[in-house]
Amino acid sequence: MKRVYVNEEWCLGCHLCEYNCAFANSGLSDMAFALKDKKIFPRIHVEGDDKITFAVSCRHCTDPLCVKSCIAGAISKKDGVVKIDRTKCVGCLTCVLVCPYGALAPGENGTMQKCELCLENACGEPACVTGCPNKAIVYEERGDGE
Amino acid sequence: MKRYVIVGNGTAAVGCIEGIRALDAEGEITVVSGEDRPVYGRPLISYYLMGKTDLAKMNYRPADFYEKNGCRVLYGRRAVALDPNKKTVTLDGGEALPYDALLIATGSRPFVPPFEGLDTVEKKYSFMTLDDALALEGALDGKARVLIVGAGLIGLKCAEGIKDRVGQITVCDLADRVLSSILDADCAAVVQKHLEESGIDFLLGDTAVKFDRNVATMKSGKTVDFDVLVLAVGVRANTDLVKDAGGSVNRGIVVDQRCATDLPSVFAAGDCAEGYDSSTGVQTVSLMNMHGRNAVSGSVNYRTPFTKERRFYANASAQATYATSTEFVNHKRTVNTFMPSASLHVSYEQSHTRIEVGANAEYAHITSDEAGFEPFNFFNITYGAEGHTRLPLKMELTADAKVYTRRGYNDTSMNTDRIVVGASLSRGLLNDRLLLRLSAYDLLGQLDAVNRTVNAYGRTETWQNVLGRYAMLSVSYKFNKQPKKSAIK
Repeated sequence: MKRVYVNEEWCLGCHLCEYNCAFANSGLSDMAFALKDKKIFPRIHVEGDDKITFAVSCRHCTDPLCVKSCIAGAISKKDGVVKIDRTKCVGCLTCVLVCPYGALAPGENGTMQKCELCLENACGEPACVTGCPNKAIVYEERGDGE
Repeated sequence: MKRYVIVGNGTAAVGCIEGIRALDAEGEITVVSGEDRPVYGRPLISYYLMGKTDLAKMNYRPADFYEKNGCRVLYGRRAVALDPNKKTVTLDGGEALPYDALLIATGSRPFVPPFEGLDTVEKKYSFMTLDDALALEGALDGKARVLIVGAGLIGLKCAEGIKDRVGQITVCDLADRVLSSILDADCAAVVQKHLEESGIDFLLGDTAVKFDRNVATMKSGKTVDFDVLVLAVGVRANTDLVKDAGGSVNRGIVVDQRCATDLPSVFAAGDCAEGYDSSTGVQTVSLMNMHGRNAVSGSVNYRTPFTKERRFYANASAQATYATSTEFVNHKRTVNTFMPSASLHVSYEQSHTRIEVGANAEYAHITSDEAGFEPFNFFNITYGAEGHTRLPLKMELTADAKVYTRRGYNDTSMNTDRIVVGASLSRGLLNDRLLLRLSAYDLLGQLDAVNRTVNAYGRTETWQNVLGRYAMLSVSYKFNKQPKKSAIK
């Protein structure tokens, strides 16, 4: 299946993907209105140091630990995409503890959120990929590895 | 068609159903569910009382889960006996279920010590199942005084769940700190302070010994008045089915790494089972496993022509590395490696011909503070010659011969001399665009595929599947397409 990958040698560390992600999932049509002067809760995070940077989001693992660990049965995997039902999440943070990539994080209402490849919002394709100015983030098929 | 029976209907049962269906879409699965409801997230009962979730959202799997996975669920039934010879499970109604493979996922039950006068207490609850939580909810009237016996995870989650729906909460525990099975004194103090700030009282190092209606008498002689009593002393694994059938039982049903019990075709999983903990492993007592590596290195490089015609060159270099490798498994161990090396090469260069002879020597001194680790020193010396020349018919020949010598290893099989000879012949065609090359490596077949390194554990051997001796014909073609000149000046 297609996943979001980051070619870290092209990542500039500009954090635009975080803003594009927060905007895509805000459901609003005006980016400034959606994000200006607000704390943003993106589902992709730029990590690294002054030498190397790379954006990290859900890997949609073949055998996801978060699905096994969720005490509420809120996380499931369907058609290769790991999804979270935020109405079921109680915010116990177990998935945050077990995810090896740090891909889950609390959203603005305290329930966990994660990258669902922009399939659940109006974007249709991952906003981090479309908005990456250096084409460092790609959405492509690379086989079924973790 | 295989018949699977699962006794229990919790998360271990769900894992089993999903596991079976990943491999066997056909087999018949029967689930014996003691609770009269589909699987739900048990840890959610405190969140339910808190109002963070509701009964519908507590379902651990979608409503059509059993139907989609072709499971027959017997709600409100219990397994009372197991016959591993006949391969049957007897239910509480006397009916016997035959199985080809059986999973015991019976979980655990609250442990209630024999308190004096416990039967005089009207409102007493456990806190484990959804039924427990619903019963407890009926007693929450906004001003009840609640006494929770047990400051473990169950007792504290209960306190968290009901704290805004009662008048007062007191938690007592025989241990001198909260969460005594998982926290040390320092951490427990932090957690206790946080809970006290949100209005929960603690009586630690003290526990109830006697009840008389609404009064608990503590071990210290203190008395506590309460309206509601929650018993959260601990749990016991439900092991009886396997124990009575003659299977091994310790604190839980003893299972191996495949969750198999010692009864044939009987498996156990979840709270009722006891076995290898993959997160810690049985052999290690410490979770830490760190690899540290600090290295410093320096080098000098020098190249000079030393005849007037500039045909002879000498090239000398020296390098030293100091590396420390540290690892923590059970205890700290460190290995220090000091490794200087030097090389000298002399070459002769004339138009199309180049011949070089040279040698490289490497010395290592390895020490460790680990008991039983003998410091050792070894040498790796490489010397040899390589040459390149142009033959008639525009052919290019490259050949090299090197001797790899190792000395000083305790394992004498490592102290070897290996001669590696390689050669390649190439010919350019079509204005050098097409290149044909025939090359051969390790003509004498003396290389081996073993790599030995030293880290904090001692010495490790890595076997690599490398191609040692080979001959290869390669063909390459250059298109020589240049990008258009940029407009930028």
